Amino acid sequence: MPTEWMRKNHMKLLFHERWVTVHDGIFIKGRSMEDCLSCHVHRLADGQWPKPTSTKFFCQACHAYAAVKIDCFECHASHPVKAPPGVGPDGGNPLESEARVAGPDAGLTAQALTPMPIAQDTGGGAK
Amino acid sequence: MSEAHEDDSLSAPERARRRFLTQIAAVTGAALAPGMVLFQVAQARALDQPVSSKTRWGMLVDTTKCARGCDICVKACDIENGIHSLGRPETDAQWIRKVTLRDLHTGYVQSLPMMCQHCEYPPCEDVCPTGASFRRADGIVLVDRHICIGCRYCMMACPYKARSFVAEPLHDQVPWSPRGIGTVGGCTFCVHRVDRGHKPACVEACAADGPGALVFGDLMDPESGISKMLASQQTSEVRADLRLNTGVRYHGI
Repeated sequence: MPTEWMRKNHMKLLFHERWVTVHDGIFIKGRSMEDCLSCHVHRLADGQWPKPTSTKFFCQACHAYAAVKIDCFECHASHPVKAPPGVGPDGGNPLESEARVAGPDAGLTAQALTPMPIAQDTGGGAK
Repeated sequence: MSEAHEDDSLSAPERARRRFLTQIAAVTGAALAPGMVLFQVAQARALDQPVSSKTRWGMLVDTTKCARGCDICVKACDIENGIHSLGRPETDAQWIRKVTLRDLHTGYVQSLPMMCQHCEYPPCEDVCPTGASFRRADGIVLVDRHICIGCRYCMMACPYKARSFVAEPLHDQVPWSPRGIGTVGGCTFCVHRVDRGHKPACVEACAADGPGALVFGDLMDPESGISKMLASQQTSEVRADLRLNTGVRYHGI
C-alpha cells in the first residue's frame, strides 16, 4: 500500500476488518494486527520493545502529533510474540512447555495432585 | 478453445469414457437431490470464509472422570490466554474454574469445571446494550471488545458466573487472545485454535496430563465423537430449567 493512501485510510481498514474477523471469523491473510506489528514494530537499541504510549512506537509517532488517542493496545499485544510449544493458534497442550522447563519428571498428573479440602476448593484456585 | 484442443489430444475410447463419467455424475446428482441428505465430513474451515451455522461447537464434561483437586484445565487456560493473577483473588480474571458439589444428604462429592456454557440463547447477549456480547454462527459466545463499554450487565445476567471484568491496565496479553482494561472477557472455546482446526487448551491439557474428562467437537455432525457420546449416554445441562440449550453438557451430575 502506498504510504500516502495508508495514512488517510488505515483506520477504515481497521474498522471494517475487525468486524468481519470477530463476528464472522474471517481472517484476511496479511491484514491482522499481528501482521501489522510484525513489520512496523522493532526492538529499541537497548533490546526492549517500545511501549505503545511512547513516540518511538510506530503508531504513536504520528498520533502524538495529530493528538489522536488510540486504545488498540489496551487489549492487543503491542509487539510480536512467538508462541511457546503447545500454546497459541497452532494447538497443542499448553502445559507441555511448562513441564519441559521444569524438567522431564515434572509433568503434572491428576493423581499426583493432593485433593483439596472442600472448604478451600471453591472458585478454582482464585480463593 | 483450450478445451477442444485437449479433447483432440485424447484417444476415441478415452473421450467416450469421459462422456460416460460425466453423465453418471449428472444422473447421480439428480437422484440424490430430492429426498436424500449427504452429511459433509467436518473439515477445518477456510479462514477466508465466514463461520456457518452448519457447525455448532460443544463440549462434554465427564464428571465421573474429573478429578477433585486437579486444576490442569484452569492452568492450561491461564497459560493459553495469558491470564495472570494481579494479586487480588476477588477480582482476578477467571475464564474456567473448578467447582465442587457435595450432596448434603449422602456426603457424595464431585468436582467439575465451570466456564462459559456457550448457550444457544445466551442471556449475556440479550442484555448487552451495545451488541458486544454475541453468539457467533458456529455457536461460540464471544465479547467484541471493540464495542464493549464495560457495563458488566452480561456478568450479572450469566447464570454460570462465567465472565470476568478487567479493571486494571494489562501489558502482557498474548496476540491470539486480546483482553484489556474496561472490557469483559470469558471462555472463547479457544476460538483462535478452533478456527484453525485444533481443540481448546483445556481439552488438550486434560487429555495429555489429566484424566481426559473433556470432549470437544461439532454437535451438528452426527458422526463426530461428541455427538455419538451424547447420543449414547445420559448428559445434562447445568440449570436446564432456564432452557438456554447450552453447548457444554455434563455427564454424571
